[in-house]
Amino acid sequence: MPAEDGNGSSATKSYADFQFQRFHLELTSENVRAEAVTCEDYEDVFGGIARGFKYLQGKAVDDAHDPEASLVMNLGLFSGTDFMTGLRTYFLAYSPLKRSRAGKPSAMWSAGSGKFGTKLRYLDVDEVIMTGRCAGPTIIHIHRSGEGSPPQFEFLDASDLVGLLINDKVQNLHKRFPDAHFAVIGPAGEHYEQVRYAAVGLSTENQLKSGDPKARYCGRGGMGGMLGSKNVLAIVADTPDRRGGKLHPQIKELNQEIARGEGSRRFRDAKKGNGGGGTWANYQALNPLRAMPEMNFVPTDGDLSVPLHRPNVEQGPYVIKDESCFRCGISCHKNVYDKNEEGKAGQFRAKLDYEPLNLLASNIGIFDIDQAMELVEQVDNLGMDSISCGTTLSYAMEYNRRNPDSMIADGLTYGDYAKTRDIIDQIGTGQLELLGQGTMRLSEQLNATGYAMHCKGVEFPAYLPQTNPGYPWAIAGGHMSMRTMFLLLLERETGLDYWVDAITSKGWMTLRDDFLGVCKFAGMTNDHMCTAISSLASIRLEVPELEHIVRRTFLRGIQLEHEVGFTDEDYDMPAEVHDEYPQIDLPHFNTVEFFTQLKQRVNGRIREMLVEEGLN
Amino acid sequence: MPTKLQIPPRLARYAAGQRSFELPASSIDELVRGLCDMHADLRARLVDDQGKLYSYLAVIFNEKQLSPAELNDLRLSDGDHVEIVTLASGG
Repeated sequence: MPAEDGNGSSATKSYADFQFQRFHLELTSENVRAEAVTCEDYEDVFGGIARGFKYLQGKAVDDAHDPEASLVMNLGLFSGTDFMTGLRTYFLAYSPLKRSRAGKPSAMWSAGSGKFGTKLRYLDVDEVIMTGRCAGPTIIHIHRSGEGSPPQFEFLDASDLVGLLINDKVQNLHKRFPDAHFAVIGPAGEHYEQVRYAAVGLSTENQLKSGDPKARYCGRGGMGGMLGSKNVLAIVADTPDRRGGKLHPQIKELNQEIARGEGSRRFRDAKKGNGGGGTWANYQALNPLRAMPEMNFVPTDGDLSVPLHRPNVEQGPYVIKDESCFRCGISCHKNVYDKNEEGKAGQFRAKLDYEPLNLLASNIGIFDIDQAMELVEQVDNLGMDSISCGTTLSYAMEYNRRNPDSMIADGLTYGDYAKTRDIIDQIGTGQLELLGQGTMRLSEQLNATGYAMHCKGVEFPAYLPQTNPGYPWAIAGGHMSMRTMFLLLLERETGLDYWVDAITSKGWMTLRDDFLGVCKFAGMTNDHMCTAISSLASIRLEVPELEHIVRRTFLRGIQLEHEVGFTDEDYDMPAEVHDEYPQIDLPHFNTVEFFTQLKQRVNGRIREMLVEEGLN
Repeated sequence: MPTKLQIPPRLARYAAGQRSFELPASSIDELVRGLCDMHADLRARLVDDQGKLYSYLAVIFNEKQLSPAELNDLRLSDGDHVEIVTLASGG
């Protein structure tokens, strides 16, 4: 966490009592400059997107891959601490994927867990700003020369890593740097000009111990391509683990709440305090209502996806284990293994979260779990974002269905597993820029945008846009930066006032954890987090003040969009989203008329909020 | 002592801000019906046209999650504790 300025007392502190360590890496010259920055507000103390958005103001570029473009890598306040799920590393940039209609890259971030962020914390690296481009494929090796010495940044040749899959890179680096954890890109990131949704893989303890491809991913927005454009194939955070000290009693209590309390229950397994089964349970929740994407976000009115429901997969030759990130008691990872001869877990097959499973199976017409697992792992290991890849594939399949005389992507169709595998491989190795460019650019090129499921260039996650008119105001991934995707399902509200309020007053509250460095699955209340902030940093923050910081961070994100020329049109949804789909067993309310009024009111209210905050 | 029932936090706004209730009932269906009779706005948020709990809602009975089949056969007794939770989760 940001260091105190040396006064060292245990009295309540203010932001001015803190500094953070920012390292500027000019990659062309391999110059490293360390800067101790006195915090000028709580955003600076907290880090993550709160500080990152401030940094990116005034640094827009015309080309995301321009060497002068800034790539920010930072931590949140709780990253690498004893606070359970405090594991997040953030990458922020003007994205190769997110874009205004006028063509300018737009700022966004991507976050990932694993243990890489913890190692950065142990190295006292709060933030790294990368500009320029390394001369050749490079590993940035962060380490100390001796105990207590400041972190050093070493630039090493990465020629032997070129072309390796994510897990192969990680395991290779693990042999060389046994104390380290890693941020790596796959072949997709290396081919950044042809793949706009390349991801960054962050290594996990489980991965290093087992050898299995169990990285965590900063998936959204093409941050893997940002590293690739700077010729950085891997970042190594190399330091032994710190010996654990005495846990603050309130942090211990909060950790117990995270592991067993109501906030994380939905993500735990059923045998752990009546957990909801994790995100995979969305299949059983949404599928019966036909409220789950199939065939490019148009649910079929049948039971095609039922074989992919977890209880049915459990009947097959598989063992499903709930595993976790480093020191996390939630265990939300649903890892599927082949069942061996003893009936126990044999070969690892895939980690099945809802979004990758849906978008790389049901949504592209694949209903066989074995095939689904192969595709999920293939996309992960090539280093691509599952959501963007899956949604772009489904768009291509839908285009081909409607245009049989002018098919693209070798005539790719729904359900063609073999061809899908081949196409994914082509995308991930830079051989199919047509699809590697993402849904927005592809649909514009084909002049067929009505069923291109994205907003602002960022493909929708696996929640129907027909039921979620909040998507356009997400400033990064659609469901992790604007929490409106379950509102219709759970609250059944279709009124304009309700949705304006949901978007402008509530939906952005989910951003809190994107600067505190914790996982959203912890489900902590704002009261909990104020207690944690007080325990960890001696900062006495009331809930309204914390909410205000979240709000200001959201508005900074919107302001960054406006700065690159976003207009009202950029907040439109794909036209066919507004059609009626009688098979969806939820109210049809997101009509053209409704959305037009909603957009007008929401954008108007946001403009007011920007003025109120002094950010216009 | 009637059965204790708890609903998800986000649905409390449709029950005058209340999450916990005590209702006499011999089955889950009767319990939910009784709750919806008290707070009509909850009905559309809990049950479908046939009066069945939505697929995205699960029932925890005396701290054990029930399968849909177990729900039908369950007979409630005084003092039982029932919790309705949402299965849908994102991320």
